[in-house]
Amino acid sequence: MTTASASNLAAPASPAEVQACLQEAIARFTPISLDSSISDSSSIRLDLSQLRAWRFWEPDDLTCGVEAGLTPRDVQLRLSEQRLFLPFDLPSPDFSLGAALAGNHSGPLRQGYGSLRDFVIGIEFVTGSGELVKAGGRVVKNVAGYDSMKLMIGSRGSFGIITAVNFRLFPAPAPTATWLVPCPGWEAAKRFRAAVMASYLKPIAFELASSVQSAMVPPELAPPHHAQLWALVRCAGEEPVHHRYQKELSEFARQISSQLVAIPEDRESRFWDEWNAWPASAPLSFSAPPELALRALPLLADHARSAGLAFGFQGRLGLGVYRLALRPAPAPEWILAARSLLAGLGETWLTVPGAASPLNAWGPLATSRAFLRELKQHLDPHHILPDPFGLITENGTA
Amino acid sequence: MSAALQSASAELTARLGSAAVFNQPVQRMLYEYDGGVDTALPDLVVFPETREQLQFVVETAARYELLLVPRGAGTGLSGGAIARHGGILVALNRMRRILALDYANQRARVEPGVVNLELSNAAAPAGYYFAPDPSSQQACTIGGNVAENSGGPHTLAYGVTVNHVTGLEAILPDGRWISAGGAALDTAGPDIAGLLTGSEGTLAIVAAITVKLTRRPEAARTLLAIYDSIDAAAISVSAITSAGLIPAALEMLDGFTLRAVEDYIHAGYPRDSAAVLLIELEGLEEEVEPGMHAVRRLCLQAGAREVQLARDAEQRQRLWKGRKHAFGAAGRIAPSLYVMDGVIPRTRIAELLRAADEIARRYKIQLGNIFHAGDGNLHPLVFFDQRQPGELDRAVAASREIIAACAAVGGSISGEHGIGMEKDQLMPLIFSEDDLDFMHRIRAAFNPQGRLNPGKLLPEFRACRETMNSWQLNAPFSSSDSVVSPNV
Ligand SMILES: Cc1cc2nc3c(=O)[nH]c(=O)nc-3n(C[C@H](O)[C@H](O)[C@H](O)COP(=O)(O)OP(=O)(O)OC[C@H]3O[C@@H](n4cnc5c(N)ncnc54)[C@H](O)[C@@H]3O)c2cc1C
Repeated sequence: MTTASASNLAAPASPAEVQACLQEAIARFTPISLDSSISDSSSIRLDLSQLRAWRFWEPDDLTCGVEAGLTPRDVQLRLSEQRLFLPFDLPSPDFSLGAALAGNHSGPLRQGYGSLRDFVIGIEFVTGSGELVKAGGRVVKNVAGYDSMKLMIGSRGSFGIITAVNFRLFPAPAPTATWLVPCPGWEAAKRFRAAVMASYLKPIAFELASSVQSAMVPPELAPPHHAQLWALVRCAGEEPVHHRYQKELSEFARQISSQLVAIPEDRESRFWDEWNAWPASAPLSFSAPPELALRALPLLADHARSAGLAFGFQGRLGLGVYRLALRPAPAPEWILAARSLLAGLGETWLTVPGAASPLNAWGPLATSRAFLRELKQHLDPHHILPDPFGLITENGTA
Repeated sequence: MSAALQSASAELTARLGSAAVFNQPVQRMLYEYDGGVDTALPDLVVFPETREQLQFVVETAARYELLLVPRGAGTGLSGGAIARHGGILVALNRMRRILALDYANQRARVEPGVVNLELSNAAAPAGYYFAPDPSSQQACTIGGNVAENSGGPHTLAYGVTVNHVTGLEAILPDGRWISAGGAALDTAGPDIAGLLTGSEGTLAIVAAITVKLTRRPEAARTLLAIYDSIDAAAISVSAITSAGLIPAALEMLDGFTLRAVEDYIHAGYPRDSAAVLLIELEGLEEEVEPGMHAVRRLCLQAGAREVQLARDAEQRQRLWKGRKHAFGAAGRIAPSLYVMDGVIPRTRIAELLRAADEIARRYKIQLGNIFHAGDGNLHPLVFFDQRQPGELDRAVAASREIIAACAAVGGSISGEHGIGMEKDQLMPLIFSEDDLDFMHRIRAAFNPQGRLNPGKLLPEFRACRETMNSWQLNAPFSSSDSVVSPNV
């Protein structure tokens, strides 16, 4: 284990060493931090990047188990040897798996394959009491015991530090094709979404964005009119499947007075890399039932405009999960006002998961704070685990 | 009946009406069972119809410190809905309203007593359905599906219940309500809806459920692959999986079971075969046609005698009727039936079936096999006669060995039927004492007094260590590492 006690930084090389760190944290009454931007002496900062072992790898069963310091890119590389893959596209492929799990990150492929929640089949973590435990297993179907995997994914270390994870894998997709559909307005985007969802098409990605960087769409492909919004559809399959998509999507585009722009095959993969990399700076997250999201986003855009902020967004048109970028960064009051603006619409979630924030980054939580506090108390009795949702401390850090 | 129970019964009857409170022995005896082999008599059975009534039931139980056991349709196969230690059985099958069908957002919101198939039927005119399809779907409730995280033949491609639940509203045993998730996918905070799903009614009673609705596929092809050896059928499953094909369903029936089905349903399974695979492909017309040819080729290469394609909807339905009524068919040929549930890596099916066969022979019991082969989710069926002294014990002992064998090859002791009171003592086969301790802590946060569905899912602590030791000594397929913690 690499430790630099002066700065309280620990880089454990095995789950047992992570366990030792947490036991030390309990003994020293010192909380654990996973946030690389915090380097004070009041916490032990854990760097988990040395947890890099492969636990098992069963290509014929489409399963594998790896330690949490590996990146999705590391895993993908090995899986591709067997034409398998993890349907997991992130803003940055250099996130560790542990960080991706703790933050429940997802990308465009969530439309076709679900999120981490859907293909993690086992998990190992160190608890707030310093025990190394696991949940789930190595098989693709399993209901034995409580599903602590769900509790760990997305809870940002609140209930334990993830050390290893088992995945169900997928066969590498058949050849893919991607089309851009410029949408002349919100109503058009809504109609386009409804048409695709009511069809038999099952795209592996179905996106909407406020803009596409010019580098992504070469000038010769630029559509004839200025689009307000851009929808994007990606399918996987053989030639006849691509034709079917092309035919139906053309018709749906025509119905909103638009047209398809096919991304050339040789540019497709780069196109998606760039798409996933947007926006570079820490964004806000927004989620709502997918159709309702299309009523909420224009309100947010207006709200930004009236505060003199530049507003951009990108996300899952099929699923209602978006990332928002505002420049300059909005004041906490703007976010609070936006939440109350949306409150009348129905169920909407506007959060600031990426950045420490003077206001509660999360807004109201889906489950009552009082109950979550009790749960946290049971699972982190010594208060050494991160508290991103502000369950123990007054205000959470993101 | 204790004074506390008598008072509770009187208060519940006054509030809910006498038709909603069963306190007579003859009434209560009807609720002694679920679909498994265990029985226990509840002290009271109550049928709340609304959220307010449910709250009153829970508060009354809290006031008198009585045990509470949630129940849906009682089709569970692990004794989850049985009042193991007595108490109030809360039957939720009268809370059965579909609260919303929101096609624009592809969601439905239902009360827990809605029967699984009723939701799909209600959404059918709009072209949608609820994807989890347990074979019991004509009877089981969505509350029960959530509690067990149920699967079904088509969950191979579409995922089990938890993959379709986005939000829950539930009441804790102390009478407080909690909500979890919502209709949106990324709500703020930890995924408590995911944690509650599969918690077998031991953390909270679920009173409303928001689920995804799935678009019906354009096309389906149903194949029946027929084999002269079980091994060849098992090899086909591995071949299909490792070729990267994901059929919507991939089910196996062995010769003994398919003959029982034929006698009852006349599904069209050849009586002289050693096994059949029922394989379904769904999607666009352009996808299912080549998929079907690929699957057919792999099955023939692996040794299938013949691969038939269902000619029309009528034949397709008949093939599926055989699968979905197989437990009923099996139930006709022996006085008692024990349906097991274990999971193994899909590459180990042939090996496990041989091991199960050897165990059955040793215990002199008749075994049948019908299962979700594509998921590696085995359902060995033990045929026995509970009236004969010692037969139940032998059936249970053999079953436990088979489940231990699943655990020993890196599998799980349950793929969809849950732990309940059937397998709580087997949890140490796959979980360490620390793993179980963490689960106990979770339970303590939701259900601190342990009044909600006691004696289910988790072994008591002391028993836990002892069981682990005895299994290490006795389980014939165990090796020291696989018994204690084969997983992760
Ligand atoms: C013939 C047959 C075929 C089957 N096929 C399948 C199959 O293919 N796949 C599969 O997964 N299962 C299958 N099962 C098992 C069973 O049908 C499922 O587990 C089903 O989900 C149980 O639903 P239920 O309404 O009957 O629940 P019950 O049996 O009444 O209860 C099951 C568990 O859920 C809890 N519970 C019920 N409602 C609630 C609630 N509202 N809140 C909290 N807890 C609750 C109970 O306490 C209990 O622990 C089958 C059973 C039979 C008899």
